[in-house]
Amino acid sequence: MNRFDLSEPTWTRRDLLQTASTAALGAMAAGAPRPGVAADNVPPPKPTADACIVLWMAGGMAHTETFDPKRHTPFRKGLPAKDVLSTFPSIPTAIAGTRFSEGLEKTAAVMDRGTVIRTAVAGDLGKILHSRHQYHWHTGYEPPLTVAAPHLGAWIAQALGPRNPAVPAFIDIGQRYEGNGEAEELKAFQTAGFLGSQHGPFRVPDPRQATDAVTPPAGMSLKRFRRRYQAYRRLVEASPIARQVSGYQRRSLLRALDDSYRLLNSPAAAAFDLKREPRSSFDKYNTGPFGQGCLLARRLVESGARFVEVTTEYIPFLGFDTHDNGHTRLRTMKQTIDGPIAQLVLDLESRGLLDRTLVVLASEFSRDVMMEGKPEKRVPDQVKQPAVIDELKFYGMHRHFTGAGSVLLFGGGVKKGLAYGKTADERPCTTIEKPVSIPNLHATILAAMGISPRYNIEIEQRPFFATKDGHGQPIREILPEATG
Amino acid sequence: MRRQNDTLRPILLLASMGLLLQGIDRGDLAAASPTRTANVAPTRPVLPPSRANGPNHIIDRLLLTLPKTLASPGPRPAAPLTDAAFARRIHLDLVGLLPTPEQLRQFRADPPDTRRERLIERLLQDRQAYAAHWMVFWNDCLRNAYRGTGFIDDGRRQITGWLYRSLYHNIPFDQFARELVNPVDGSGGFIRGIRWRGVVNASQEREIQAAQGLAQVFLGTNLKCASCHDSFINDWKLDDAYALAAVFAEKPLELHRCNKPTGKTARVGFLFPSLGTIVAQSPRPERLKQLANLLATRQNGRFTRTIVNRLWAHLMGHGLVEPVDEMERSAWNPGLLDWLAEDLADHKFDLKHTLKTICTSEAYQRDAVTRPARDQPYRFAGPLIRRMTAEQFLDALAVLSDTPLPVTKQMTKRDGRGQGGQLPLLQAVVAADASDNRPLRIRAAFVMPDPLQRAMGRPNREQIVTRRDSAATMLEAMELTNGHTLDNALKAGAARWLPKATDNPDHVVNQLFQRSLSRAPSTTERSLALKLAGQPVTADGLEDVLWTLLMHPEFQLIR
Repeated sequence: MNRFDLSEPTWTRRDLLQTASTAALGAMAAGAPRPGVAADNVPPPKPTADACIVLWMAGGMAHTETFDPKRHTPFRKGLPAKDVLSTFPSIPTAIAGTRFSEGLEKTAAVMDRGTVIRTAVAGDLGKILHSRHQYHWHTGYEPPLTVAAPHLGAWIAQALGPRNPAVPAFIDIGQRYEGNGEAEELKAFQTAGFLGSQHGPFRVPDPRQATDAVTPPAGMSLKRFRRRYQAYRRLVEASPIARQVSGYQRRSLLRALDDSYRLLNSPAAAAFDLKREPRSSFDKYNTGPFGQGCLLARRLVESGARFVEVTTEYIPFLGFDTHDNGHTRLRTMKQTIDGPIAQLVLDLESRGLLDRTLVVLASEFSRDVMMEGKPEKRVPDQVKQPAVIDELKFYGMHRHFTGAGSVLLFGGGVKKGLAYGKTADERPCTTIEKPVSIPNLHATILAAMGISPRYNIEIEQRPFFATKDGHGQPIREILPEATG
Repeated sequence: MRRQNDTLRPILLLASMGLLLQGIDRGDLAAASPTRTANVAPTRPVLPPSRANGPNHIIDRLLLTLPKTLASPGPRPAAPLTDAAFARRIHLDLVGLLPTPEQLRQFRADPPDTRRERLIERLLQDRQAYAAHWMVFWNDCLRNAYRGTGFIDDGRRQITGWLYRSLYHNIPFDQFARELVNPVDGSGGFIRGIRWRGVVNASQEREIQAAQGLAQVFLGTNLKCASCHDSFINDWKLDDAYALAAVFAEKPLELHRCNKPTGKTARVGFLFPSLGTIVAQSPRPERLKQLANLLATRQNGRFTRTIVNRLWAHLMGHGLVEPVDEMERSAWNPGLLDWLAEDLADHKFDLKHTLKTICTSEAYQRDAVTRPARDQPYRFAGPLIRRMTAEQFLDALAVLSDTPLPVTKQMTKRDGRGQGGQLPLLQAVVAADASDNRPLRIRAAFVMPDPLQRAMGRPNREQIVTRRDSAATMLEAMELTNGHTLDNALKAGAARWLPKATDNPDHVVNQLFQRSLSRAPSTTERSLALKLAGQPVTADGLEDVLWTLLMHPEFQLIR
């Protein structure tokens, strides 16, 4: 092999043969995380999925307006607010007897491939702050914490590593920070935390510009990029004190550059380029950034991504954060999500990937016209709601409801055609059968990926578990094949 | 105090915040179980006699004495550092910057036997450079962020202006700690902690955060577990953590065990009662004063040992006690730790004195060595190779590309939540110093974090961070390969150097090597770099030369 054959970096090959991974090397620093209680980490359950896609409905998606419709009360002037449970009629789904809200026809039609959970119960965090509940959902822990908790995707990336070494194991699509009033709070959980930044996330803030993430900067042709890298490697080898500067930092630096070079140069980089998608297929997804994000997620999973999250994007008071005009805005949001969700499921299926790819749709909490919090734990109202609705803008789910919420699961060993849990048909439409907590939902996702809910890392001398305190229990009914 | 049946409860019930305690069954923890008062009493070690042909420096003399537990001799000491390597390392370690060619000239012009000490002194006397570098360390330790979680609800305050002023004027470390615990104007953010909207776990209430923060930063001990239940990782009890928290509390504090109220009111007390007491009935300001005095008293050897150990670890890559936040553990050279701690107190808690003391030792002035594998016991041979921090990298990038770091509006104007606006505070400190007529130099320590810095390990300062990870990651490399921050700097740098390089490419290549690697290029390196720069030299080519130097392990690693 040519010593400077750039497709096969020599020192990467050499280093990969060594037992220590970059992560392990980094972890050698004292006080850094180390493998936790071994007894809890083995035996891992047998995985039913190799990849996971989370579709994040950011801002609080009302269950009664989407996947758990209740009695429909059309708008009229003088409508008592307490009479409104759903502002849309319901439609049938592929699950007999299970109905969705109007506007979700395409997703309804693929429900024979998955499970809808009706009873996802959010945490009791007091006065609502969206990003704090999002933190809770994504890490499984309630902030503030004394250590930086990892995102679910980082746990999976850390435990399983990449499926394809050229593709980052944890990719986060669709959340921009600039100008966002809760950007800092979002950053607090969109992180691998104490697991270390090598476990992600690799961020693609705008899926419409995904190629930017993996393209050399403007003015950098591929030819020049390769030439620069080649010269770099020669210079490093020519350094008169190269041998003195050895050790893991040097190896990790060179390896990191190799990994990045490999991604930028690999076929995987093409996965980021949505222009390569056939027009007819692209159009099926293109409802905007979220739809394109779903397409990107599919392409990335096809190329070997391990964990991908696509968000409708949390921007205070926009998207699903409906403090007003709930009905009108939900119509738009459903147009945004319905086609891409269904198409993602169908495309994964037609490519033979759905059986080994778990798709999860979730939100930080639900919404209601009247109730802030949940019946047994009400919190201060943040939205004024007139008792009598005279204007369309007051017609919708504007308060933050934590007693029940909908989650969809497809593929990856998930039970097909199941509606799980039951909510009341009258206000507050809260959970009445089979509540699903965040730890148990996470345990189910992790079990599908072959990770124990008691998987843990030791940090500051104590084990820190992938589900809160190691208490998560996979839901057998949803994941019948799961072991462990 | 404790209900007896607690011990009968399943351990799982005691867990909270994910800090679970299965560790109780593990033999290794029992073996490491420290005592509450380890490393508290000030101790003056017996200094080994100065031997003929032996080292003079007390650190080096003490390093020759090995505790009995380390019977076998350690690894061979690394070779002495060359002047060039010393100059590069000491600049990065004390002021976070690479030496300029002028600084190197001045260094070499000094007499050989005193040039290193003189350089150390010059660097420590450069108040701006010193304060900017140590801002990074203390911002991490005190989780002082220019923007971050909590500001949204007035749940957080910056201490930026106070911190910079304190470092700039090198206020004694006992005063520094006292002002954080018993706040003066501008220093209140530390004990105020971070509060998000909504209900928080009892173990994360403000006063408990204050107790945890004080214990970790200044006493090198972990109260996080004991804030929820009696600790399984050290000897602190719930009662101890709450007693310290109660000092900060505005009203009587109810003990919560695992987030459940116990109906008991916390006593008021300090972790080390042997040092004195805090009068529970005193008003809060008085209690804070008493606490500050107990913390920073001359009798509190844990206080001094903790900070000198941090400085040692900063300079040597590995503490005398490890981990640096578990000061209950024994030092691998207890005499040296004891002596450094006493020496600091003897010198009016002057951290610059301790830095100078360590940096003038033969031990510091050795070649850096590779970190031993994790399963190997640590034996001192010389400082460990470390990696530049994000801030050191950005500062070096600014110098190499001859382009100052951009100042944004966020940095100059504080927003309605109290975020940003740090620069005017820092500028005011410099302006008030009649002995320095330079304007404030914009350093990476002062700028808002960007994706590049985050990828390179700048923490979000949500939690206390006393040490950063030093391994490179792929995400970081992606930023370094195609990120905007770097790309912009490279383009600006290439434009700056292009006119000179067109006239004399050889000279510019030489300059770039001098500035980045603090040495001249070898013949091979020179020809590689010239070829990459292009004939004739192009802006693209120069950009590529800059990039290769910035990515060079010899550049990024502190040796």
